[in-house]
Amino acid sequence: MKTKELRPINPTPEGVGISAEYINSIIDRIEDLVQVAESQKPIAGEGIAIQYTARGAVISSE
Amino acid sequence: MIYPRLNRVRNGQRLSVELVNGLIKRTEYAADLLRQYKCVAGANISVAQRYDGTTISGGGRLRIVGQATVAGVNRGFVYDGSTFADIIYPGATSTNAYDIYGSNIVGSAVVGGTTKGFLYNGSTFADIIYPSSSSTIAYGIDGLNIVGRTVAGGIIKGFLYNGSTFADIIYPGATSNDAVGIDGSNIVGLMVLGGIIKGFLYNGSTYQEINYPGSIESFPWGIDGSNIVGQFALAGGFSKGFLYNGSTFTDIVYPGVLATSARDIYGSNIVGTASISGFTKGFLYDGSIFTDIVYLGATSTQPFGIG
Repeated sequence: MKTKELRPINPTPEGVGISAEYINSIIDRIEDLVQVAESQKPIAGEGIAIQYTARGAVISSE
Repeated sequence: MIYPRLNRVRNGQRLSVELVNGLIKRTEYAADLLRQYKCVAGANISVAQRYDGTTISGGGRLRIVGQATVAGVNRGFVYDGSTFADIIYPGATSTNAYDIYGSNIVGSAVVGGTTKGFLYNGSTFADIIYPSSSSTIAYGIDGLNIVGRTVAGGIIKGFLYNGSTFADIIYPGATSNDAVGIDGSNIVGLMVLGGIIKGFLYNGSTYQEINYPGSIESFPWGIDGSNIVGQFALAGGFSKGFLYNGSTFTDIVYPGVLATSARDIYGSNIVGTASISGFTKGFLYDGSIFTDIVYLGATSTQPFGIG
């Protein structure tokens, strides 16, 4: 992950204020998460078959 | 569902419902990907998910471990489908190999009249001995976790050993327990409850009985995913093997023998034993065909584990 762990926000007497900078850090963090998730796609190597199913990627030996 | 990349916001831009929903949908998209890409073990493959990554093993030849009795002496073996290699604990009068995970094999050895567990990595043996016990047997291995049975303080109990500490596996109310198979956080075992031998499944927090319907005894021996194999006996009958998929029991009976036991499962492959007239042979069963596993010169060949 290129981004850092998000900081929890704190309420103020006026309510909750979220800056554009903080929202962007959330966006960056989510985009980072998407990249990591996309990179986890199993790719079949030699002698291996992969079937993508609702319960996950079923990896078998051919 | 694919949701497009999020755009960064400008200074002064207000937090809108549309923006929050965008964050939610993009997060759910990532969650969908992670669910879709979760690796699940298929035929001849072992998958172990941990916090630091997913270990995928197999893709090659199956390996089967067990015990062969030659001239009255028990020796462990590992079999790759064509060749047997002996596993003999140094100085032991009897060695059993019970399970295999990658290159690691667990089992038990009798040395100086005492039974102790071992972990064998292909070159060296490491003892597995439950503290203050008179006997320890290592029956199952999955990753770093090993299950087995011990006799300690006069009590027969199962254990889970993570490489540094032992945790007891005891079905509530049972007078004797063996933890014999492990896959992830699920452990199968045997127990004596109310004087009857029954099976159990322990998921790390709760216990569930595993008994073949109508049986007088049930022995679950191995587990892989949601599949459990074992043996059972009906009143007045010989043992038969079973495959339990979490809802249905299917009999496994080697044709023409008196007794069958299914000892372990890996993907769609099951190993077990078939006995007739004082001779016990092993088998590999792929769901349709039984293939014999017989150690040359042995009166008994018992495959206990497959990986």
